[in-house]
Amino acid sequence: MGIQEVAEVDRSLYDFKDDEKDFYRLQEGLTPDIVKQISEEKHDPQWMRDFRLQSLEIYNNTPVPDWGPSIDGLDMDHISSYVRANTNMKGSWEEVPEEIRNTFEKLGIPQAERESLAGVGAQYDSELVYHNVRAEVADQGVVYTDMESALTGEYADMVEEHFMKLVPPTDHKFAALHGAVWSGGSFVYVPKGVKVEIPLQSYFRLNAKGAGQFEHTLIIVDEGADLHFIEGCSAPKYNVANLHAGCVELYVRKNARLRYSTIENWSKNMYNLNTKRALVDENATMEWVSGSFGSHVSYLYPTTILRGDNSHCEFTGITFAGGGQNLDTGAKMIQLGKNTSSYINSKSISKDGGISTYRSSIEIRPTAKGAKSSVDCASLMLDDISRSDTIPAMDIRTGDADVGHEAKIGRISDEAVFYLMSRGISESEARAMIVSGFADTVSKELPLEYAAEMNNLIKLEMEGM
Amino acid sequence: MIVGRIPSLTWNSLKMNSGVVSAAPDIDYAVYLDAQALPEGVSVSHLSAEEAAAWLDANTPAQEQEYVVAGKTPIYRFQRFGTGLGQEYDDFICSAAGGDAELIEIGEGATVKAPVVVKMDLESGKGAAARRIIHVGSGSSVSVVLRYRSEKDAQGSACISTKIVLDKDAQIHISRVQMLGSGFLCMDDLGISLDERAKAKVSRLDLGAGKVYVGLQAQMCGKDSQFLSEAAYYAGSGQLLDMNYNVVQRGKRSECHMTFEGVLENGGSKCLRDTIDFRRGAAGAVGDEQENVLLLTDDVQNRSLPIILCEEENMEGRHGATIGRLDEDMLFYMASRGIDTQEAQQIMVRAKLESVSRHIPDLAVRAEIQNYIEAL
Repeated sequence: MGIQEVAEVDRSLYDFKDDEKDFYRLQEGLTPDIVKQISEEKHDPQWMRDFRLQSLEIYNNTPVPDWGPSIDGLDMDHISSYVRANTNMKGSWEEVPEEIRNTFEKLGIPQAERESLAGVGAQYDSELVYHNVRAEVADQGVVYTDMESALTGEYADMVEEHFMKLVPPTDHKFAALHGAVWSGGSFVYVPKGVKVEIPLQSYFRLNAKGAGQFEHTLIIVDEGADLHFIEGCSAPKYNVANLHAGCVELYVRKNARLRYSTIENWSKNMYNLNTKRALVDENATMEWVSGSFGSHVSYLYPTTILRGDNSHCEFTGITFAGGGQNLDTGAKMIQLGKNTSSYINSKSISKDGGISTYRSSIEIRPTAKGAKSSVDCASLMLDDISRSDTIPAMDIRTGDADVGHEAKIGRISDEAVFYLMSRGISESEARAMIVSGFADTVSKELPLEYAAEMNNLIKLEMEGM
Repeated sequence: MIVGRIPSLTWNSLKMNSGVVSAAPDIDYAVYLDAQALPEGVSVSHLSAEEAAAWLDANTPAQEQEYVVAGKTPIYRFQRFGTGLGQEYDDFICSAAGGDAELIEIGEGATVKAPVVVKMDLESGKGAAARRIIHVGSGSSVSVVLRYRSEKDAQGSACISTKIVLDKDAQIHISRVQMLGSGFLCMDDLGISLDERAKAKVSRLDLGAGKVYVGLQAQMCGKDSQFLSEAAYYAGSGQLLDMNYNVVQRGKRSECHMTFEGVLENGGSKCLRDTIDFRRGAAGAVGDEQENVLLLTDDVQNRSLPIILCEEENMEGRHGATIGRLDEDMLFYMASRGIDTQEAQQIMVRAKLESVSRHIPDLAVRAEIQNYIEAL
């Protein structure tokens, strides 16, 4: 494993690490024996054990993508796919070991839970260390638990019916890797007609050096139900590669609505090869809100399959690529149902040699009569050593469709900076304000606390300009 | 044969990274210009394959060997003089036409008043090829009309390659009209290099042929160079149209504008890949592209991949696309004036195709187009 070239940015808020004393850590690499060991550690049912081994075989037979950013610096022989802190999952913060609790305290998770969340799951390396849901939400019949408990508990059949059915291991190499070594993550079920008024959140922290995190999130929002789910991620920076290959599968049933918000702030040695996919039924709505700030390399394209007639999806995303980062992000829409509609609004910013690529596809199939789609993407270049690309594809296979697309790339207007400076604002502040304004379409979609965190991340990235 | 590969690949499952020609066609004869019909100031000579390669090496600006895009080096072969269809097609046409090329030259400081009109009337059941290099000297200007035609139901293949070198302050307007029979395979490739203040305008109209592969690459090497492209097409009755446009903006204040107006109906299928590539150093460059596609029946397929690649801060890039049926409000407006839906569609189809044909500087060719469109 070569040392990764990562630019120095002040990320002290997220860049702290705990010692791995007394941690359980599987040896590096990826073999059938390692997969079997993970399966034993997690007390998998037989079908899951078989599934893992089949996924490993698919992984070994699937080539790495020949498009997108280079992942040559990622060597699976030097990644440990399972690291567990010396604790079990707790239902109260007081029971979580002090060192780990301090980590989440610094990240503001317990405070957020008290003030603005209906439930929280906190994953530390490969396993959940804390999971809790408010009593009044649980009383509505909402299930919010860790995947391992769901796999063997009351909802085992539901998990088996849905697990990696939307994202099969054959989808791509890192979906297969996920199928083989997944660990942790959350299972959510919102019963018919239940509206969860305040969001649920999962927070993923990868503390271990040279490790991978492979959490699986499965959410089923039943007919007429409503949920906002928030996902946060961070890690300290190391000089070797870490890997995140999570998987998110979302089922939005008839007349339901799901909003899935992510603030991704992995450290800049992270290879973030994450897969997210939603299946949306009749009259249902899926909303993605996505902020990508961290990682060395990212491949991230939330995919929505609009299966039901009149179903709708909106994607709002921002990507900020700084020095040493190559972030390839975007969205995919597959429209199957009649009168389905999709809207993508994407912003990206490149600075200090960072590379941001907006990549998308809109597929309107012959059955999607009356389909509509609109894509709006804008990119901002902050200097002449960075790079910004847009690669949007549209495949329309019915004449009964309306599709619009608009993309712009440019830089900060000198006139706007001059205007702000003439009002007594320094140049760096003026540029930061303009960038925050550029990102406004995303931040206004987030709850206040998270919008503030996102603005803080933009401010951090803009420092030193 | 893989043709028209994009410079930065995307998901293979979309099958949009390139066009694929299942089998290279047989070539039976080469088509040459009628030297006697050339206007004053234009000369033509024949070059062997080796002479053509040496001429291009000596007369084209240096291009970067390495195309590193988004952290990856594309896997396709480097092409010394970039064209839209790429190196595999170049190799094919060099061998297919016997390798020789016509060199059409306009010397320095000349304004060729009459257009150079090249009418290729192709035979049914045969494969034809033409390979040309056009060199426009400093401060000169010329207009070239290329018209490919055959009987309506004819079959065969037409393989054409045109490479254009524009010196400083040179100008060219290339008009190319394709009205081949429904059984034709047409492959038409274009490469242009533009020196300082050079201007190129390309008007392309694709109306016929069963399968059409169109390529264009413009290397805007010189500062203040300008490239303008307008393309219109019609694809019906199971026609396939595959286009790859790639404009590389290297020169300071270089300017590129591209428009695509299309109509698809009755099983027509079209794929357009168009790239604007801003290279570092192209300060003050502007590039934009607009595509409008009218879908008239349910059984059509439209694929679009408008790409912007950018490593220069001081530039403006934009692309837009509208794809769909005729606007309901417009149909209502037409109906209120006694124009039914079918007639409204015909009006819109004519408007799209004529937006390009009206810029062709040869009245006889324009009349042919008019008749062809009326019969659609």
